[in-house]
Amino acid sequence: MAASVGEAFVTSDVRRGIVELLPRLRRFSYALAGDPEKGDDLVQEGCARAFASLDQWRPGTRLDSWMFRIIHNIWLDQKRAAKVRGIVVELDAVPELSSVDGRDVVDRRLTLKRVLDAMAKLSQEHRELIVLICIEGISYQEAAAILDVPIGTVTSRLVRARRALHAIAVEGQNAEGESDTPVR
Amino acid sequence: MPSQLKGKMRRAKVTHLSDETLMAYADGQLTPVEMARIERLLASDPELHARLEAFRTTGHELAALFDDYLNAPLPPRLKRFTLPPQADLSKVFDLSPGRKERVLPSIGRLRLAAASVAILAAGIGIGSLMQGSAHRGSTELCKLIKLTDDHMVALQPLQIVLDTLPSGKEAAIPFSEGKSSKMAVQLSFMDHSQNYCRRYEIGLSSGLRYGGIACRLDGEWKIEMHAVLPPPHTQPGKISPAGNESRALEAAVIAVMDGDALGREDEAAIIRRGWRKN
Repeated sequence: MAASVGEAFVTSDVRRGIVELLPRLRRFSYALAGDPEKGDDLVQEGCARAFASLDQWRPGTRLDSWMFRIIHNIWLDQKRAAKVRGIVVELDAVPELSSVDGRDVVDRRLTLKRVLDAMAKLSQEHRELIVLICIEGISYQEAAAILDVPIGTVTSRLVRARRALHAIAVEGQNAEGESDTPVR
Repeated sequence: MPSQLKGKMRRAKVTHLSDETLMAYADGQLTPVEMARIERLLASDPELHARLEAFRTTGHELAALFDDYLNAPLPPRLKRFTLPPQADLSKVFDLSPGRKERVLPSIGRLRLAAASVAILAAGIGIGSLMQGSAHRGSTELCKLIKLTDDHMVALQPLQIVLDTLPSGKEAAIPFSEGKSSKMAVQLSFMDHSQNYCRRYEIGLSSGLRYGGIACRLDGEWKIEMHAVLPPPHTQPGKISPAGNESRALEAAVIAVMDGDALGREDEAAIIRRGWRKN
């Protein structure tokens, strides 16, 4: 009900679009930051920046991608400022997926906490791809545009990111490898 | 032949698919023709199924874990972004003790030392004064709201409405002169101090309209905000659609509201127990 009250006050299409995106922006930021409060910090800062520069959004482009890019840049700035570095191990430490038994995966199915814990152990490049593509459902092409990298880099990184996430969250691996060497 | 190379050849024989392609299949990002080709391969290759499982687990299954978060209520600090840029909060008058000093001097002619009825009329009629209108509705209004030493409270007719009227309903309150006022409650919610509050609207027989926020405190409805609304376009005494002022009032509601508005069932239960918190 509160959302519908707020919605009635939004006057411009872009502002209205951003307001409608707020739940997704919160999910995106929560998954990126790994913490709901820090996630809302990102959304708050992202909306403040976006509302201050609404004229920079180009009609015909995706508003969600624009907002994701803004929030992603804020997150990167924060990470750089904090000089946070993820835990890394060699890629060889990540087991081959072909050795995973499907029945075993079902028994150790994912939980939100397990996923968030695992994502905290991923590198920045891997985590942002997981959030954009696996959680937000952004296409590989859009993700490449948001992150300003070639689409080939997106797919190869995403394979490694998902192997690492699966290894940590499902198979109990402690950390991921960070190498960008092609997998196969 | 080196054993490592033999292993790679064996794997290639079995799958013929890169992880990138398999992942794109799991994500539905291939063409229909490619999707069909991989489905045929999956039907005859158990190892491919095992490889695919990891991508499925980290795809739709992963996203579903965050679904509940999509429906979570917005915190106040994000709710403010839902306000319109042109919301004119200067037309919403916060009459709480801490803010009275900032509100009353702005209307110049009013004096705190005046009789309580005069202050009430002035306080309620700020918008009318600024527009140069007379206080035609002050007599009726004084029967609905009273100014005490440091705050304003709802008198019996309005109090009964706030106590008992479900949100979205309208009630007619008769007065002794044979006149009646229309009152409506738009929504109920909790403020940041966890007090129950209600957004109300009053349409006097004179045609004057007021909107406000009343919060339940110490067994009475304390008037937290009260604004003059634009004249109705409909018949006198009839609640009319919201204009800019009532939109600004709604903006204030959103600012003080903690969480979502109360749902119909929750509100009905709270009305039944007399607005006690538990």
